[in-house]
Parts: sequence; C-alpha cells; structure tokens
Amino acid sequence: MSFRIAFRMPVAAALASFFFAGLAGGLSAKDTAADAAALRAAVAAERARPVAGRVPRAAFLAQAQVQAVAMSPDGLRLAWIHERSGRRAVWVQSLPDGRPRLALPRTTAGELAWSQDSRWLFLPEPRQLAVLAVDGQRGAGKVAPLGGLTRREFLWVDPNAPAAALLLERPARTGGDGRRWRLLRVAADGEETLLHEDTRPIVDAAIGATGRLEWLLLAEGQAHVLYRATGSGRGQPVLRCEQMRRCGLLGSAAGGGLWLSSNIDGDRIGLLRVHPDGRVQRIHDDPRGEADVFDVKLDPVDGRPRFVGYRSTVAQLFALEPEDALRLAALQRHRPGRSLEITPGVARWLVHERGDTLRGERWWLSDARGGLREVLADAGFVFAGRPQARPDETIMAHKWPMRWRASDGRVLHGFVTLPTGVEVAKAPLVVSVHGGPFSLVRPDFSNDAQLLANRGYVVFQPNFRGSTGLGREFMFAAQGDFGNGRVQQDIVDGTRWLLANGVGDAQRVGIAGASFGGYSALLGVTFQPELFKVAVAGVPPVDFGFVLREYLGAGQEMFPGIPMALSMRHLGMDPADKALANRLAAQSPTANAGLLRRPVLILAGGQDERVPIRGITHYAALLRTLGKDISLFVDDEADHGIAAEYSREAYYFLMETMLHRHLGGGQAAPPSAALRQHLQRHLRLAGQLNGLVTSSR
Amino acid sequence: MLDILKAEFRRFLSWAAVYAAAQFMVLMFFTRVVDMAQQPDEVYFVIAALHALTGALLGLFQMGGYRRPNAWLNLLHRPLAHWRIALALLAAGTALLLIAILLPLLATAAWQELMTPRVLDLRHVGLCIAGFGIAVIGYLTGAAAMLVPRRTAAAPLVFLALLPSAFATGTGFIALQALVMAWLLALTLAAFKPDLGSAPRGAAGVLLAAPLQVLMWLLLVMAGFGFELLWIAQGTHPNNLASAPAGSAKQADNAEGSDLLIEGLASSSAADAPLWREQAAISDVVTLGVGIPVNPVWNELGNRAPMEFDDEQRRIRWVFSHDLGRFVGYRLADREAIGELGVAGGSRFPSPPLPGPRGLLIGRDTLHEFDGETQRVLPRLSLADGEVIAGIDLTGERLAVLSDRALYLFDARPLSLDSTPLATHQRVPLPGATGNLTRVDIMELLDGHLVSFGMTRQRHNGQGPSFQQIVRVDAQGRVEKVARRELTTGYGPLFTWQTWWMSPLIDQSLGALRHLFAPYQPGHAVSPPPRPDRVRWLAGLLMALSLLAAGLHVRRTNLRRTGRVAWCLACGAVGVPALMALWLAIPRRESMQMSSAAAPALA
Repeated sequence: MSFRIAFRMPVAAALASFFFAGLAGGLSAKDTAADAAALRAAVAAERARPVAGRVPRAAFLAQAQVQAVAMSPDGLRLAWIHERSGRRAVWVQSLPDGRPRLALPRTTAGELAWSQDSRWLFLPEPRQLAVLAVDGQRGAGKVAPLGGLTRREFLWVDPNAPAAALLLERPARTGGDGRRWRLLRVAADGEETLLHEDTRPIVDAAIGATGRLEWLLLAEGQAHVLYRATGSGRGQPVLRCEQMRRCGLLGSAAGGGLWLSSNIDGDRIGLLRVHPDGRVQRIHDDPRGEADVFDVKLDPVDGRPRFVGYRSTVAQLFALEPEDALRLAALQRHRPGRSLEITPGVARWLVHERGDTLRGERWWLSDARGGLREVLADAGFVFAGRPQARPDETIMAHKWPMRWRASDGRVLHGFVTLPTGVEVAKAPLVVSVHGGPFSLVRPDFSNDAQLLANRGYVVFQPNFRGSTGLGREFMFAAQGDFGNGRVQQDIVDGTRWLLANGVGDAQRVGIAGASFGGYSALLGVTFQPELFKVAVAGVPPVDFGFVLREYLGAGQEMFPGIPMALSMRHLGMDPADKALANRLAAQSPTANAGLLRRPVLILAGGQDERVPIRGITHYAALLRTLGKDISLFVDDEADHGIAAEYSREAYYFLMETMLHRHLGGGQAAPPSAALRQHLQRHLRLAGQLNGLVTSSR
Repeated sequence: MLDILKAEFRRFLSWAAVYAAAQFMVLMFFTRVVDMAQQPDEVYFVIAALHALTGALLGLFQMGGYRRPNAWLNLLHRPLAHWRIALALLAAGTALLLIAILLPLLATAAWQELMTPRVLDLRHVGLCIAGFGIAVIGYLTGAAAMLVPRRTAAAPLVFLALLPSAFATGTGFIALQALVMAWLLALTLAAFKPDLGSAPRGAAGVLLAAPLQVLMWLLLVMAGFGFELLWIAQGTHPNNLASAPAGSAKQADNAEGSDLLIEGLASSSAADAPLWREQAAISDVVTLGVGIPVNPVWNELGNRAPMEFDDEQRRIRWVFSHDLGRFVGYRLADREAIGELGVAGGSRFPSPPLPGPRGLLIGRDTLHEFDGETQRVLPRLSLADGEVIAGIDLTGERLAVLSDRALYLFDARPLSLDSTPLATHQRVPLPGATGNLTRVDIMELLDGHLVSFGMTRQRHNGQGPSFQQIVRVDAQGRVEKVARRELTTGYGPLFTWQTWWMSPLIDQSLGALRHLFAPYQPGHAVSPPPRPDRVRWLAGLLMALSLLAAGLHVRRTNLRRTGRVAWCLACGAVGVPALMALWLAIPRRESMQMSSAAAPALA
C-alpha cells in the first residue's frame, strides 16, 4: 500500500520547506566557504572525467515503455503498464519466477492499483474504473463511470476491504439541487455503497479496520477540517488545517488514531499521528531539517507507516521499524547514492530506483533473506516508434546540490549540472528555471539539464523562494513578488554566485524554462540583458498577473475544495488586488517589450489551458512591430504540457540551435525529414533562425 | 357523375394497387435499414419528386386519353355539366393516388409506431399527407397541362417548379399545397370545355395567364443562367478567375482567416492596427458561418438534420419527439425503449433542439448540454428574447454563438467543469442580416477579440451587400468598429439585378410568396442594398415597351375590349414576361389572304 502525497494533492503544497533549521537568517561565513568548497570539489570531479560522447536528443525524449509498476500486497505478483505508440497494455507476472503474461491488451489507464486481497487490479481510465481479474476468476470489466460533470474520481483502493475502491464525486447542479459531494465504495463486482454525502467538499477520507469511515477531511471556507466519524453520524472536528497548511490522510492507525502527513505543527511536512483525542504527535521529520516528506509507504496488512522518503535537496529514505532499517541499510549499500522507494509486500519488497544519472527507473525485488534481483531489466524506451537505449550512465553528468545566499541574505537551494571533462569557467551557462512557480527541481534525472550538459553547457536549476518542498515559510516567502522583483533576483543572485565561483563564462549565459520558467527567461533577457544573452521560453506567461486571472476561470484548485482565489490570496497574489496586478503588468515582458535587445525563442501550445496563446501571439506580434529578434513555434493542438513527440523534439532542436548560435555550445544534429516538416508547419516566426527551415506561413 | 367516378376508379385500380404494394415494399426495406422519420430533407425531397412525377403521369395519361377529338366528344356528350364530369374524373384520380401514395406511407408510419421503439409524431402523419398533396398537385398539373391550349401547356408546371423554394413547413406547407391545389383545380375545371384549343376567357383567363407569365419570367431567368454558364466557360466570370482579384468578395470568401483580417485591417486607422496585422499572421483565427440557417420549429414536416444523437458510452440512441417535447431513447443493441429525456429532469424542451458537438443541443434560442454521466440535460444558455441561434463554434476555451442579431462569445471552460448556465462574455451586434453573412472570423486579443464579418452572401442576385467589417470587442464587452471595406463583386448591376429588371412585380411577388405561412428563419433574413438608378430605368423602359408592344399586338387578336385592356395593363405592370405570355396565349387573329392569282376573274 502506497500513499505518495503528490499523487492526490496539487503540486503547490505537495512539498514545502527547504531552509536550514536555525539558518533562516542566512549562512555563516563558514557555511558559505563550505558551499563554495563543495562546488569546487564538484567542478574538479567532473573535470577529471572524460569528455562525454554525444548522446542523440531522441535518447532524452524517448518514453519509457514500462510504467506504473506495482506489486500486489501479498508480494506474489507484479503488474505494470506497457506502452508503445500510444497503445497501453497491462502485464502481470507471478513472483518470483513467473513468466510475464499479457493480462489486458488495451487500456487507457495510466496507473493501476492492486486490491487488498491481491486478486484484482483496478484500472482508473479517464471515463471509467475497470477491474481486471488476476486469478482467472469471473467479473472483469467496467465497475463504475469516472469523470463527467460529476467529476467522479478514483481515490484509492480500500485498504480494509478485500476488493473495493473508493470514489469521490461532485454531482451536477441542476434545478434546485444543491451541490453535494459523495464518497462511495465500489466493489470489484460493481456494487456501490455510499459512505458519506456532504454539502461541503470532501477532500479525503480514511477507512477503519472494521470497514467503517473513521476520518473525513472536508473543505470549509479557507480551511481543511479533519473530522472523526462518530456513531451519531455527525462527525467531530479534530483539526483545522488553515492558511494552506497541508493535511494529507494516510490511513487509520490502530487504536482509533490517524496517520497524517502534515505541517500543521511546524514548518515542514512530516509524518504525524493524530490520536483519537486530537493530540498530534510528530513521528518523523527530515533529519537534515530541509525537506518536506515526499512519500510514506504503509504496511500492506495493518497500515502502519514503514518508510518515509524525502526528495527536495538530496534523496533520503528512512525505515521506521528497526528490522526494516537493517534491510534498507543493506539495500542502500548495494545501490549507493540512489533515490530508493520501497513498496513493502508480505512476501517481499519492490524497490524503485532513481538517480541523477539514471534516466527512468529500475526495479528490484528484495526478499527477507537479503536477496536482491532486478526485474523488468529489459524495459526499454521508444521515440517516434523506434527503440532508444537508456543513456549510458557513465557519461551522464551529475546533478550537484548547491546553496547560495541571496542578496537579501536568504539561503537558497538549487542544482548545478556540469559538463564532464571541460574547463567549466569557460563553458557557456544556461539557467534552467522550473515552472509553477509553486513547484521545485528535485535531485532526480533531468532530461533538459542532461541534454544541455551533453552539449557542453553548465546548467543551473535554482529553487528560488516560492518553490515547494522546502517548508511552508519558504513557499510563502515570495509574497507575490513574481515580476522583475525578489524571485527573479534570487535567480540572478544564484547565477552570479556560480560565475563568481568560476562556474560558467559570464559572457555566454542564457536562460531557459517552461511556464513560469519561460516567464522568468523573458524577464531575464528584458531586465538583465547584461547577464542573459538569449532566452528560450516554453509556454511562457507574458504578463503573470493576466495569466493568474485567466487561470482562476479554469476551475483549478491548489487545495481541493478551496477556491483558487483564496489560495492565491494566501500566497500574496490576490487576484482582486489591483495594485499587485498593476505592478505585475508594469514589470511584465509585454509592457517592457521595447527594452528587449536579446534574441528570444518561444514555444507555445495552441490549446494551452493555463497560458492562453493569445498572450503569446500578442507579445510576439508586439516584438515584430518593434523589430526585435523573435522566433515562435506553436503546436496548434498542444495544451500546456506539449506532448506531441515531434513538438518536443522541435523544442530541443530549436533550443540547441538557438543556444549554439548565441552561446556557442554544441551544434544541433540536423533535423530528420519528419522534424523538418513539423517545423515548417509550426514555426510561425523564424527570427534569426530564418533559413533553418522554410516556414509555410 | 358517380358512375363516371366509379368507372374511372376501376379503370386504374389495379395499377394503383400494384404501385401501392411496390411503394410499401420499398419503404419497408428502407425502414428496416434506417429511421425514415429522421431523414434529412433531401431524402424527402427525392420521394416528393417521385410522387409528383407519379401524379403528373397519371394526369397526363388520363386526360391525354380523353383529349382525342372523338373521345372528348363522347366524354362531354352526357347529360351532365362539364365541370361535373371533370370533377368525377379528378375525384377518381385523387382516390387512386390516395391508394397508391398515401396508403403505403401511412401503413409504413403505422408499422414504425406499433412495431418499433422509434419515434413517430403527428408531424410525420402530416409528412405523409404532404407527400400525397404533392402527388395530387402533380396530378392536377398533368391534367391541366393536357387540357389548356398546346402553346400554354407548360404554364401549370410553374407551381411544381416553384413549390420547393417555399419556406413554409408543417401545417403551413400543407395549407400552401391546398392553395396550389385549389388554383390548379380551378384551372383544370375552367379548361375542361368543348373547345380545347382556346384559352379560358374572362376571370378564368387569369388562372392561366398568371402562371404563364411567371413561367415566362422563369424562362428569362434560365436564359440569364445560360448566359452565366457561357460566361463561366469563357473564363471571365468573377467567381471563376484563375485568382480572385484583390479586394473582391470572392477573395474574401476564400481567404484564410488570418489573411482576411490582415487585408481588412490594411485601411484601418486604429492605432493598434499594425500590431493586430502582425498578430493575425501568427494567430489561429477561428472561422464560423451561419451553420444553422434554418432552425427546427415545432411540428415541421422534415428535418434539416436527423433529430437524434447517440450516447456512445451507454449505446443509447436518443430521438427527439415533437409531440412529447423530449428525447425518446432506445438501446442500440436490442432496440428496447428505455424512456424519455427532458430538460433538467424531464421538462419539455422550449424548442426542438438540433444535436451539436460535445453533447450540445441547439434549440431556437437556447443551448442545452447532455451529460451522459448523469443522463441529464442541463440548460447552458438562453439568448435574449426573440433572438434565434444561427450557428455555434466550440474551439478551445471559447464558445461562439451566432444569433440572427449578434455574435456571443462565452468562456466554455465551465462546460467541462460545472453544470451552471454559461455567463455571457461579450456580445457583438451583426452589421447586417444573417442571410447575407458568409463568414465570421474571430481572433483572440490579449484583452478581447477582433471579429471580422464578411457580408457577401446573396450579392450575386441583389439580395445582399458586399463588404467586410472588423470590430474589436474588449474584455468588458465594449465594441468598437476598427475597419470596413467594400468588396467588389465583378458582376455589374445588369447581371446582379437581372431577376428584378426582367419583371419587378413577379420578382417581388415571388419573394413575398416564398415566406407565406413560413416561420421566421435567420438564414432567410436579408438586407438588400438599394438598386442603382440605371437598373430602375431599364425595368421601367422594358415595362413601357411591353405596354406598347402589347397595344400593337392585341389590336390584331380576337380579344374583346376588356381583355385587351387587361393584357395591356398586365404587360405594363409585369413587363416582358407578360408580353411573352400574351404572344403565346393570344395569337394574332387568322386572316384570309387571297392572292390575286387565286381570285376568280371578274367577267
């Protein structure tokens, strides 16, 4: 049984908190020196490695064929989704030595979940919840509709029923009906049981060992309120999670308690236990004092927490039971420096392995006797219908965690990826800014950073203030200053700190990113042209305030059941605040288009639901009328996450070409005929890239 | 009289029975394959044409047999008034058509009602009656054509030729058929006289003269069409040039949306026009037209499109019933009826809805959405009183609804998020009539939209203008005109207004008659531009010349004084078609010319 927090919770509060405990006011001189020394050591280590051979860009674009690997609670079966050319199939393998068999040749599900009795697989597809009978029993098929105007969604498998799932729905409002939220249990045979119905938004729930609803999290105004179910039917409020404090229900605890991942008692999200009387006890916290909990793994039988993972600055995994700790230590010795995630089963564990030089995942089976065996080792990658090899780990650059002090004294974190075997002081530098802004760069493999490092660029990925996963205070610290203000200055400060420490050629610095990262890139070339010589912006807002107001109408929620506007207000970005809107507008790339004197490449989606394309076309047209160097690629069908294979390759190809021309890194390999055709169709403005392809417009 | 009727009935009964059986078998075959009650109008048009042909052939054959001199004398040589003999024959023919046409139609309808879960409404019975009516009109046309003088035999055809262009539907169309039948019946009775070679005289003469003049006008129009074909063949027709001239309506009709905006903004004095032109070059411009020129109305006879949609998830077909005001469903797998589907739980729809994209149901002034999950129909929007939906486009996050008065832009995101009615974002009044609107091009701006209206439909026949107008509507809904340009047509006024100057009276009268008993439809609303003076002068000149020529012609005919005056007045009012009709219907009086060689010599 696994409850990854990010699975059900919006990204903004999935993780929080990343400042050093006791160091909020800044680093000491000793710490600063240590950080600089750590950076020099990293530079030296990468300098000593041989120059990496060129890895084709398709290797960074290829999609893993095996996804959603999940082990049954009894540890006797493994299931996964195999995807090729957009066609997904479900495979099952008996453990330890069974042959993989095709259990379902076609599904639209992107994930799967085992029933508690390990005999069924639940497949949440966009429009329905299907079950697959793994034991050859009868009853496979659709068990419940999903989606629609009721926005019925699959929550998770009921941990206290042999074969049932929990669904949450919000019925359509018609006539005089009020809006009502319903929590349902649907069994594998399709029988639905209403567990709770409420006029308030149901956010989360926990089922007790008896199969009764024990805990309920409801949205009330600006808060999430935790109720303990009572026999009378009226729940008793136990906790109020206000001011965007996170309360994620993990499962009922023995003795009537509740396991919770929350920051209700502090700054960082940790593992908490709520006692029946409402007392809260912190069970686990990041020993480094940096990160929010990333995930908690529960025991498949009794639901007690077994493992806690953190993955904001460095990947850490902790076992909560002594015997688990011994076994985990052996695992970590075997896979040193890796990010591990463990799904405990009765018979064995399934170990997910990730790493900064490892593209995708590897999976291991660990038995109680210490045996460790890799499974699905032949799982490959595919791009444009052709198999692609996993990039050779020995030539991939490492992603080094770094920290620096911003100009106002705040300590910030990020990562730097250094090209191997080169003198980094003379290497071009690309600042890669993450989106969100309420998101973060993790220590795992980064396609963009590895591609650029392979082409000879130093890549800096800052987790500026406002990023998640580093504590609540850090996330709130931006205070809406997302124009050419404090947040942008964090990025500039980090870049200058790297340059000051001999990393990167100050005359060859570019800035790139997608979504908020793209916005920051445009700000960078507009307001800091002496630093940033070129910008590559994917799906960028060109006026952050405008995009936020538009986003309100998209029906999104940062916190389930709480209006987006309230969440934004808490984060210092009140959509109704005219002064803020005016400030963001005044500091926007659009309003300052006349200042731009660096080349810009923009990639956009014609159906972008978050960053309306009209803002981008307006900005691009404005730059054209001002005679600026602007290149614009628009995938007409793409939304905010440009997914089409050739559009993603176009992104890399154009970025490589743009950066090569203006910063002097590695040259892009010529486009294939298919890519050239795609570029001709979608490159609406070629700017100085003119001649690269012949535009059809 | 009854004996004549019975005899005539028995004469064709076996043929009628065979025809009825054949038609029933064909209808049943198609009913097995498709729902004949939900076919588009084109299918009913073909069936109606066959029925009209059947009737016409019967009329021609029946009256053609009697028209031979001996047979005619035998027929009339009875102790009965001529009109009673005619009535007996016509009644027999009508009864035969009732068996051959109406009975199989009604039997098929009854089978559908009793043996299938498909919808059968009262309007479908009306459709059967209208089919029968068409056959009777064809029959009377054939009969009249056989009885009137040879030179005018084609005149009754004008009703069949013009009936399909009528806008009436439902009981209105049946009433129109009744009027046509009455006219044709009266004409047939008037023509049913001993001297078949002479036109009906007196007031009855109008029964033949009026359709004959309209037919002559139609011939002139066809001649104009022939001229146009030659023009096209020559390669200089403005619509068939290798490349449409710059600034022409043809170019505007065919242009990409972005190019049209760029062209239209060229003459704009708006400060942002250069920016918009750049933006248009790189933006996706949405183009929509009057997709629903004819909106469904209660108890209409046909369907512009099938009034049904399939719930693919549950494999249910929902068919709209005009009688119930709701959809009626049946399972596609086993054809089992599964109930009704109304608005918000079961209410009647305010108007018959046309199934649209993504579960949208487009009514006359409302938009509903079918949610397959809850099996409910949710009201999504309602236009202001009196406005009629003429088209919709759902692209990305924007829903554009075109009414007969304005373009509405909605934020479509709630369609997938919530179930409440959509709130109007912006309303842009149309710059003209919907019937003249060819295309609307919409480009998103940072804070609003740029909307181009191409008003070029019906420019070829003088019923519409030819211009492009661009407006900007901001996020608050303020509308500002930013550009307008006249678009050339290349036709020239004589071609454009040819149907009018050939006969203003017929052109205007037929235009008015098309709307008789018809409900208002946005696609039929036009706003013709003023006619140029030279076209008016030409029409007046032709009427004057027709009057003069008529005066000369009638002096050489056997017409009485009142007849001469009436024809002269008709030629003056109607123009050339009346003159042509006069020449056909009233030939010059025959005179005995005796040559000197043949004359007996005087002793």
